[in-house]
Amino acid sequence: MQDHAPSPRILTFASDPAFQHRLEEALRRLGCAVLSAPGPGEAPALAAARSPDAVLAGAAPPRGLETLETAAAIKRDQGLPVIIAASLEDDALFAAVERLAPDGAIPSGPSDRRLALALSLALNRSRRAPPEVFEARLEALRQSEAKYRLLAENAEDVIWTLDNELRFTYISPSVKSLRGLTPEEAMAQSVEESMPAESFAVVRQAILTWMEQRRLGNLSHVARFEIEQYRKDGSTVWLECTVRPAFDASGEQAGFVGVSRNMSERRDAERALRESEERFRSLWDALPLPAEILDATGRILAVNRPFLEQFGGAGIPGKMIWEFCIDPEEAEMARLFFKNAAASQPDLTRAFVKMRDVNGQETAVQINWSYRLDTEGRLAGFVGVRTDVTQVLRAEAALRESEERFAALFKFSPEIAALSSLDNGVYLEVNDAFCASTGYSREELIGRSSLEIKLWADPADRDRALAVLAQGRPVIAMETRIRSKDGSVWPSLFSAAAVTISGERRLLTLALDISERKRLEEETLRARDEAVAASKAKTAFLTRISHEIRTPMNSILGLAEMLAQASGLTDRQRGYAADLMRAGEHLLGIINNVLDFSAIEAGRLTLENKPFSPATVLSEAVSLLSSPAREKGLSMRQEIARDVPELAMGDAGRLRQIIMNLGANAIKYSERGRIVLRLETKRDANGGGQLAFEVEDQGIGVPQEAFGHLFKEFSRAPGTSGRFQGSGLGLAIAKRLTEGMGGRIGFESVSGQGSRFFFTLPLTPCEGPSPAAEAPPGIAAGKPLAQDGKRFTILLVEDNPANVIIVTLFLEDLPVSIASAENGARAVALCRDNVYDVILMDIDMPLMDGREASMLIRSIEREAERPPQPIIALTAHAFSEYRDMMAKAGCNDYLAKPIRKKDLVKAIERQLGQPLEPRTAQREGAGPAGPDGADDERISSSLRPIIPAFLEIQRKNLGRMNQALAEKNGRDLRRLGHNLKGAALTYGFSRMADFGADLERAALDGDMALAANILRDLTNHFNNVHIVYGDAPNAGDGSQGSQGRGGVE
Amino acid sequence: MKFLFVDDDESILLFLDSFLSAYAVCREAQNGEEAISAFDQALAEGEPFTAVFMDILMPGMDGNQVVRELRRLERDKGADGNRAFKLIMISICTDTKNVSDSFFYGLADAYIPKPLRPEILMRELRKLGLIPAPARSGLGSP
Repeated sequence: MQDHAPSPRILTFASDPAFQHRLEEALRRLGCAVLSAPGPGEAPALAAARSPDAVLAGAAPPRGLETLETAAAIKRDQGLPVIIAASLEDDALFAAVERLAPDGAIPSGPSDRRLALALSLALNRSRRAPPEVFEARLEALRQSEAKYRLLAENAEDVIWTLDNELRFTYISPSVKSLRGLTPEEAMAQSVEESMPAESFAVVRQAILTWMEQRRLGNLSHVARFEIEQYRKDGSTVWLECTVRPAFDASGEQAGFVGVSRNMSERRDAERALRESEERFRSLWDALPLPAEILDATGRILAVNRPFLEQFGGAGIPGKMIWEFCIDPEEAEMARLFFKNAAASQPDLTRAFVKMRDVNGQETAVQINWSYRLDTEGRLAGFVGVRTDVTQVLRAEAALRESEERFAALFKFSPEIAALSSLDNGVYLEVNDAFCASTGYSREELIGRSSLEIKLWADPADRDRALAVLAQGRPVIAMETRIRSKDGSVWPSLFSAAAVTISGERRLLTLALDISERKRLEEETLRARDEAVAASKAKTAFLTRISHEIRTPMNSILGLAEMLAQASGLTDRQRGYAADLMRAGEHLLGIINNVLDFSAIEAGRLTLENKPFSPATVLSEAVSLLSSPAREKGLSMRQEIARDVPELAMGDAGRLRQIIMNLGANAIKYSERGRIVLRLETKRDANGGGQLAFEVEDQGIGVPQEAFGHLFKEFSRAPGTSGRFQGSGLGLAIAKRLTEGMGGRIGFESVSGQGSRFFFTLPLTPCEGPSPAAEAPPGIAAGKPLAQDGKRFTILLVEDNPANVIIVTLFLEDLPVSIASAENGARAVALCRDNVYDVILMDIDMPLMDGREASMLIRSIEREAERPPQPIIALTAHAFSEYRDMMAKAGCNDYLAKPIRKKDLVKAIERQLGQPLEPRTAQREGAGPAGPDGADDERISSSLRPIIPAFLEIQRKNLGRMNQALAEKNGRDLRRLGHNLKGAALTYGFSRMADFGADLERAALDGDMALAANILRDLTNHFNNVHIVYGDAPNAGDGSQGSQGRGGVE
Repeated sequence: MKFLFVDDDESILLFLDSFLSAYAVCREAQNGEEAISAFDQALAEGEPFTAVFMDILMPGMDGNQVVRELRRLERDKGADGNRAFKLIMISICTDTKNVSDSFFYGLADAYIPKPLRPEILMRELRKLGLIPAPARSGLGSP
């Protein structure tokens, strides 16, 4: 029926298009034919043209008044019923609507029911259309509502309505399943008490928002929010609510209608997902290995933290995985793989690639991939885990190399090598050397044991080896004999150890054929014995030949010395004689060294053990060395520590020899600077005392390459053979002597800066008598039989005529008369009838040697009850055993050839107990031995004429020095001392020069007391020198000049 | 040939004089002032010294100072260049500083250390051509 009713035609327009659209929609829902005016301006014309049943005008700010005016005009001009939909909160609009007095007024967002009612009334009033039309519509609406209710009652979602005071007016039954409450129970609660405060705050916010929207004219704002509501049991349930305002049939707002949907499950699912993701991410980053997620094309989607840490690369996601390969081939393979991966099921699960790590280091990486499929079973991508296998690969390579090396070593070793089973000892592998040495073929050996083939010539050795192996130790170089296949037996060095080869425990045995070595050893031993014998023969030869040389050397040196002192020589001739002596002495030094060394080599070194004064020995050496040192412009000093004992036991002569050797070396290898000889005492490791000697120089030093063999015989500083003379025996002798005395010798040196040689000797304190008391009785007791003024008688026993001449020449100037005997027998005969003041006794003589003669002379003296005549032994033998032998034979003293004049005279004087005055004080060409006599020969003849003048100048300077001292003028004193040093040396007065140097130093130190002492000593010295060299008429003090030698003291 | 010996020690002057008076006219000076005065006078007389033997350590002016003054005088008189005197430094000072000072500032021609040795003295002077080379007589003849 409703379908036949004509649709009312309604013209509608509104103040804004949206409003108009809403109104049109509502009219259509109610079945009206809608005439739509594009805007209020067009509405009157349209109304006139189409003559609608009614007009519906929507008025809302800001243009609402205009619309109302249009509506009023249409109502007034055309008499059409007009219904106004207006926002009535606006006072101006409200007033305008009142003034218009429309046929109906409804809210701006009216419910359909309200609109239908308003239209129905208006049409009814105007009679333009029957109201039934709308009754039918309203009935349809009511049925629709019932349908909705049915829907609401059966939905899982809870549908509810609230009135304007927020009281529940309807709650669908599904609330029971959602909250455990019946609709009635739920409706009994207020909104606020149905939920926690936080949720109510959400609701309140929604209401505020809705009110704001309504103020803006948006009446149908839909709010959506999530809240928690209490269940009956007190627990809560999360609900998602959608709420919109509700309007009653009159179009007034009648609270709200809402739908609540249980969202706990969704929440749980989300949380589970979130937690799962969280877990995955921490696991992802906590993986100790770099890992990546790729899509199916090989593009990196994500990498974990270790990946970034190891390989760096900010922004890696998005790159293709092969971009990280160093090797282009690997990159290409990876690219191809991913290209085909999507099409075919990937079968690759592992790959090796080389990449650079974050430090740019090349790294070998193993990647293990697993692929991911999507829900449809298609390839979605890959997950890869990377392992750095650089070390593993390296270790594998090293192991492989090691095994290859072992295999090569094993195979090609010249040593016999075999691998056998640890269990039963059967050979698993043998090398070529094994087969070659034993004569077995490989096939004969593999699978058999050494026992089976009777390899061990001495089976006990095998048992010993097994015992060692059983203790887990290797057998190393055990000497044993091995039997070959042909039965021959040969010596070997056998080694065995349990080893792991390719993971298997094996016994590795090695054996070396040492037949050849054995033979060589025996040969070496024989060669050594021969060499020792040869060396002995050599030493014996050296001893003999040296002795043979010494005897003629005695003649040469003696004659040269005499020649040098002979009168009537020209300077040049004297120079030749001096050269002859120097060369001879050098030769003699070498011979002495050779002899000493031979004696030591031959084991004939005998050491004295007598009391001696170490300090004296050092001082003597210094005084002997100082002259050659001075000649080279070197200064020499001795430093003797206070605690050095006065006396010690030992061999003074040998000690002197060591010091002289080291001292002479220091001079030889120095061009400048000073040489210091030191003596002090030390404690050795056992607390025993030691005498420590040192010789330090500032010479050329010892080159590094010479360090090792410096103390070896016949070795000298390399590169010096042209520059320095010597036999190369000095240090070798010093070393052997030191060690022979229980000491040690060593040195330190910086090439070019100098050397320090040092040696220690064990200090044996002297408890016996002093050296003086130990001296042979004759020396101290000898009394001259000759009267004063009388000549002393000397018997010279010597078979060599040259030596007789020399000794005669030596003693020529002295008040002695000489008798000579050509052999011992002749001497003994002479002694029966004569008494001599001194007998000089050669040792090696024909018919009767010196030893026998001495003994016989002593027996003659005893028989005749005569006092013993002093006998001085003369010999070319430098060894102390000869000395001892002669002492036992009754000799009082001993002189080694070649004899020096000075030594001979001294020895005779010692025996006579008084000095031998020269018969003539002056000799032409050489001055007497004056106070500065040590360097007498230094004063060249060309200077002699001006020496008196020099001494006069120095006398004046002495006066100046005294004056400077009195005035305490240190500067002048220093200068004068300095000048004296230079001048005195220039004139050859070295002792005087020393005084000058001392004075200079004392003045520099400001020590006037010391300067006074030095000046006093210098004055004394000067007076002595002046007596000898001064020109008497020029001396200015006649009394001194004429006093002669007596004035020295 | 004209030599000037400068040393505060008479015995050195004596030594030099006794060995060298045969070769040259020798003048002596015992300090720097005397040396400068003698040198100046010789220049004025038109007979400058051929060689000066100079001690380094002297009271008052030291040898190096004196030499600088002598060289200055020489330059002022236009007597330098080829006609410059030969300088022989004499001292016990063997330290390199003094020696190098002598050579660099004094244009020393030789350095003779104390103690003086006749043979070294002669050798150095021969090298400088101040005394004639020795006749080779005697050697090799019977």
